[in-house]
Amino acid sequence: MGNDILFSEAVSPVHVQQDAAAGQMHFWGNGLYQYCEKDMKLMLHILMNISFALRDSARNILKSLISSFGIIVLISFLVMYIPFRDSVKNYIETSLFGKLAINEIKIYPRSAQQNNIFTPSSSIRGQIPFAHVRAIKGIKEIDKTYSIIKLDFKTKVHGEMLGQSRAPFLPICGVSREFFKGKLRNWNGFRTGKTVPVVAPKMILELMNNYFILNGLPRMSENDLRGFPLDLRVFIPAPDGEERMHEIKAHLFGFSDVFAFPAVLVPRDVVTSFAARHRYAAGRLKQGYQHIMLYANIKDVRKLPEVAQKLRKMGLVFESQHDVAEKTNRALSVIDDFSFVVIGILLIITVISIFNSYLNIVYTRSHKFSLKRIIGVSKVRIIMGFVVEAAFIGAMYGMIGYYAGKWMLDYAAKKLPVWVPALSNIAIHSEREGLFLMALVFSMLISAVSALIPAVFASNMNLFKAVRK
Amino acid sequence: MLVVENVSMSFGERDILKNVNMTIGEKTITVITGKSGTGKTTLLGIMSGLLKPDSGRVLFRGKNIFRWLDFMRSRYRNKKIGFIFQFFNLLPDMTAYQNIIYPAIINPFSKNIRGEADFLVNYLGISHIKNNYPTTLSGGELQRVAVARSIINRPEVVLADEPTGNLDDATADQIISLFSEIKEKYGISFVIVTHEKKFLSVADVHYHLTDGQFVRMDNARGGAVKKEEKEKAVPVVRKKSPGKKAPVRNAVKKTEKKAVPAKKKSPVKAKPVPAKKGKAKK
Repeated sequence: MGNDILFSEAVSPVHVQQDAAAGQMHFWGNGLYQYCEKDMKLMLHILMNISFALRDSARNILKSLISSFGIIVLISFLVMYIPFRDSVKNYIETSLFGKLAINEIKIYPRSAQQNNIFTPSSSIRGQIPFAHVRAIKGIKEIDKTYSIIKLDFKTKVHGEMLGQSRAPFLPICGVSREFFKGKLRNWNGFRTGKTVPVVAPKMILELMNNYFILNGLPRMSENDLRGFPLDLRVFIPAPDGEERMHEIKAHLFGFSDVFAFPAVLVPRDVVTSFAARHRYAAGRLKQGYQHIMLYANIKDVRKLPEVAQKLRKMGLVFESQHDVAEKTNRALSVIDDFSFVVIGILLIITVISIFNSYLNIVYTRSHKFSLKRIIGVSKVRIIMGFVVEAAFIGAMYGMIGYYAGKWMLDYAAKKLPVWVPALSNIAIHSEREGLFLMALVFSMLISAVSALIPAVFASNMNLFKAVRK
Repeated sequence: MLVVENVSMSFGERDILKNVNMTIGEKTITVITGKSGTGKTTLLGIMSGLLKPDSGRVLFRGKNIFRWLDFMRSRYRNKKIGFIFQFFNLLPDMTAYQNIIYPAIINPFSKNIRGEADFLVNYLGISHIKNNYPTTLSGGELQRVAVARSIINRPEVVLADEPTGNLDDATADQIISLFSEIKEKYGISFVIVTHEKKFLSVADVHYHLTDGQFVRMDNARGGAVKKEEKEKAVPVVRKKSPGKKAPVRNAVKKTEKKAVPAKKKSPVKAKPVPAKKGKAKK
């Protein structure tokens, strides 16, 4: 084309030196230029592109920052909601419904089945006939069974603490030591010595702590209460119609989330031997104890439907890990429904706000975009410019939202027992693996997607089409 | 180099361009005149690939630009085409210098951007205002900046839409001579849409757009219009060269052949057109 001179004369660094001497800085790469070697020029070119893109973004950033503010609220809420949900889920599973292993089922009489999802399904009602217990043990798909037997007398558990004496009615149940294997620390020590070891459900510890907090007393941990002396009081009906109280010395062995019904567990032999001694006390008892629940391990989980069928024939119901999870989810659905409504509203407001702001940017700067298109900026580049800018702002606000949410959650975790003592047992942990990344990605995604349609509008700006209109 | 072939375009029920044919040769200045609203700017939009015609095609070096993907057309606009507008259309939030280098910045294959920009700034005599923003510049300065921006990427064609429409006579003369100088020195072709008769003094080819159709005016340098051809470009070519080669290619050669002897004639010696004969006599 004969224009080599035009573009080769200019290679001379004279102009650059003149610029530098005049102290004229056009953009921040200027000072570097004169020292650039050939292979540095590509880098410089990229830096110049970035510099121009940043200049463009810097002019829009105020509008975008204001419009994207909703992301902070949204992400904060999410960061609070997710760990809170986990904590509540954990609380419900362990304290209300009890934990089960994958191959474990809990069998109880149909009369114990509850409709209310917030009450323990296995409250002590009814009994499993002895014949059924034997039959269950005979089912070939079942490996081991642990029967929970209840002393069939009126019982109280007495304890004294902080100068106060309490003796609530609580069923005394027996279970073999092996039941706690792998589920309770020092399970092997669960045997009768000088005093009887007592395992209480975790629910009781929480009830106690609620009581302490309401009375301005400090919370007690499991370790604080281990070894605490108790009296197990059993009232035996006498022939004269009166009741004689038998007191068994006991100590608190620990708390367990394996069972979640209001009772205390003692070694099985304590119940059976006591029942054997007093079974005819009233002249009406045959055994002196009842089978109220059975924990069974299934050999092969895939055989569960067959076991279920056999149990149903006996008029019994059972609960597996799947059932517990289902019940937990049903309970959590109340929280989820509320949270999803809030998240949905926040999301809509945020998206509309970002969308509107970017649309405004597009229309106020339509001339600029159409000019860029004429100069040779591709549609993809215009769209990318918008989307990257929006994603950057989203990431920034996502981070702010994350830390704001985390701070609020930590604050709530501290203050919740004071504000709502009944919820003091919900242990809220703001630390959750992957939450930061999730918050970051989610906020970037919301922001970028909201800006996408305005970006497409911007990329379609055309000076010639405007003239045509 | 750039061929517009049977291009038609209508806005609603109004036909703006009807089977327009045009060829832009290398190192030529093509002037397009016509009344307002006859589709001159639309034609530039079509040639740049920003407007898609209802029918017809635009070939750049034999390739239909409307078959390219958007990013290829963008690259074509960036590398092969330069734009100059009546209202300059500089980016207001950038300095003159930044406006000049912007097309080079977005071209991933640009080399020595600053060197080229510095040279252009000196060459066009705008080094003293290169750090000024467009709002502080005069019309002539703005247009020089726009010229620098249009040629920084070494385009093959510059499309100019009323480049002197917003300038005073003296500045307009400078811009016209600048176009001619750039064409001669650097081999860049110009397509100039204008009402300015002065451009005819530097034009190699002159088309007049009327009723959506091109009428090719055979003008000699110096501004005198010698002959008016009522025939459209392509039908004429088809009649004259029905050989193996594409009619459009032949049209280019034909145009160039006609243009060369025209250059030799001085404006004074040029024969006036019949229409103007009467005026001359008067």
